[in-house]
Amino acid sequence: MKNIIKLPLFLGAVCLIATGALATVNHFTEDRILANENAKKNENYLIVLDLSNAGDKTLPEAPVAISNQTLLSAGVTAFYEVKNADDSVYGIAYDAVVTGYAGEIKFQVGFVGDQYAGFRASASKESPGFGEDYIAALEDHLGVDWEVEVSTSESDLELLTMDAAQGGKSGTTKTRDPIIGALIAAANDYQDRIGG
Amino acid sequence: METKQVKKKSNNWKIFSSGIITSNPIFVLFLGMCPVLATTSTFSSAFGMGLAVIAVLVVTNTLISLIRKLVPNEIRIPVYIVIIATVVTIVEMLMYAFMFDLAQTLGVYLSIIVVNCVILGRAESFASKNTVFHSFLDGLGTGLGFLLGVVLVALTREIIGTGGLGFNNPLTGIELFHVQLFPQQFAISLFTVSPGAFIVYGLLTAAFVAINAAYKDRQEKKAKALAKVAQAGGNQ
Repeated sequence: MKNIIKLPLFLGAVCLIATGALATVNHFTEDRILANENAKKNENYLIVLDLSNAGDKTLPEAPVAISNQTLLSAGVTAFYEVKNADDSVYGIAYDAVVTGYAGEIKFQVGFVGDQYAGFRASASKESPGFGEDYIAALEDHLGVDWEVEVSTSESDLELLTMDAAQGGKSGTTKTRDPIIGALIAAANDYQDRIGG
Repeated sequence: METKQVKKKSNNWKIFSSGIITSNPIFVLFLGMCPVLATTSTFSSAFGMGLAVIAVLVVTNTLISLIRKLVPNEIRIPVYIVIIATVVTIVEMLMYAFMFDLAQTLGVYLSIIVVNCVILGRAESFASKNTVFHSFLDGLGTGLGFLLGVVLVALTREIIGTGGLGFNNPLTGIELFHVQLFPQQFAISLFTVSPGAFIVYGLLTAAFVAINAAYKDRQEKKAKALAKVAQAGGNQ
């Protein structure tokens, strides 16, 4: 009978101490973790919109959540619109989350003028040598030395990225297809917003 | 007095080194194989995983040994699990705060250290029966053995699979070095994916077992030779 009370009490006490320890560490690390996450995202936005070469333009405080079902089903979840001094659109960066070969791929893609301006993945667990290389190639080239027009069709974009990113190697379809889908959906939305 | 101290020291060394060599969790005990296969595609991520496991093992072993006399036998496993889960979550939070890039690379594998058999195994078989200092040494040794295992697998996979070797600063995520050892077109990319991990793990385990067996054999032969000499001396 004693044990019925003693054992749960002991386990409860251990759980209480554990909760206290977790709460304390969380209290001291929460802000830093949030700051790290935001820094990573902002770093990506600056890169995909090439804002370091865009004068005094800065990102708006918060992204705009997307409610359009077509965009959401392609994985595009939010966007940042950066404006010129005359209130015209300088460029837009989109947030996307798609499911690749090894789980979620979170990425940001930017558009400036009539071209893709940059691509950055903020989280991905794709296979090194395959999907990871494909993503790395997009980061290195899309909007950097591949000047890809927003109006480029899905099949053109697929061919371009497949040739350049894979070097003729197969095995990246499950990484490539959802990314291309989200890129095209974001590009279409960008065109609508700038009235292209 | 001196002999006692030597014995103590040699016992400490035995506890510490057994986790690295004779009871290596990866190549001898076959514990915690999931992260060995999943986080060893690059040297950097394997090193980070190894460090996280060392931190968890040292802290949980020490804590469990500290409270071993207080914990009722009937609920010792749930208590150990609560302690392990708490320590893993704390390590995870600290890594996301101070080693953000590395924590992102390790992703879910960081959280599932909770169910890594090495941790609960050492808690149940060693820390719950031994002193705090010995448990600390055991945690450190076993952790280093785990680090050695994941690093060996990762080095082999990264070099054969990509032709190069790189290392990122765990704190900043900035690449510290990257050397291309041979042209990438000669690399075998199979080694960067799961089947390659199994192949490398199997080969390294075979090598480790062979080296361990040869070492034991040599020790036995030495002991036999010494016994013979002693016997011959006694006969004279």
